[in-house]
Amino acid sequence: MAALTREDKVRLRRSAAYRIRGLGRAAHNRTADDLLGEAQLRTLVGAGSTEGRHWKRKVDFVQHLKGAMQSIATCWKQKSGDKETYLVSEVLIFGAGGQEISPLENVASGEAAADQSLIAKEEVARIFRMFTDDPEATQVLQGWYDDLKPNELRQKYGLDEKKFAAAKKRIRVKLLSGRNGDSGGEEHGI
Amino acid sequence: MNHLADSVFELSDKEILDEVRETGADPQEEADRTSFVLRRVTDTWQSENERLSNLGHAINPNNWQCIDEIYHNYCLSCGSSVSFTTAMQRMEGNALDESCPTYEYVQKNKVVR
Repeated sequence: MAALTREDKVRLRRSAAYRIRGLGRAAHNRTADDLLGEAQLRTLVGAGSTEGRHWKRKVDFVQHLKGAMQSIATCWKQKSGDKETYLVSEVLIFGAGGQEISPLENVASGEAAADQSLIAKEEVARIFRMFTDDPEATQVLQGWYDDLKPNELRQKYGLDEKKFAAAKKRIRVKLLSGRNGDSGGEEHGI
Repeated sequence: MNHLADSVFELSDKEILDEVRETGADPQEEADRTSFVLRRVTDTWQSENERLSNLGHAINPNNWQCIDEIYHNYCLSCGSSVSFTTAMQRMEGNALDESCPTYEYVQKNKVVR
């Protein structure tokens, strides 16, 4: 732990914050601190047990905690289960004329999948709504939602490396601006 | 959120610090908070295990079992139970109520001899 740099610690905390944000109601008021602490506890338990999460010393400790947090967040989401699923009608937004709009319908590319049945999660819809005026960010979110690899995503939406990096940055900055990232969100493909 | 959460690990040291500042946060504060959280869990885990040991309980570190996010174990000598979660920040269970009777018995016999 002493070997962690300031930047490592910041990355871990930010990563935890985005995961909590993504969990939405499934976070059940847990914070980024809770997720980090749970990852560390699993490491400590795993050090001498068949339970917990074993830290293979060959693996960078940052990567180990990153993996532990992912696993824990997935577990929290699964435990939350179907109780956290919302009707599509709950995630629709309304345009100026009162018409129903799917959060995905504002994606500039005609190729963007707009299958409303996939948008069953409130926080995902909320995140999409935050970027309705940013087509590239929406495309990146859509690509993440569809679990595309970076090169697949870039190819699908015709984004060069620079635009892709800039869009990712805008998403990260907007999602955690003016907050510590401790409030809820909802885990999904994003 | 996997892609989003993982994307911060792609950033260079300078990029992550700049980005944190851009969100209005202080990177040093975030780093200190991370250190605090990791250290608190580690210190608590170690001190609580020491407390168990001081009470004479024999806890096998291989026997921790996680059920509903609570880690459970038991004393190999007297069978008293112990549990731990990050939320509690301390161990709970019968094992913490009193010294291990088996350990006490052995200690008394040592004195008698």
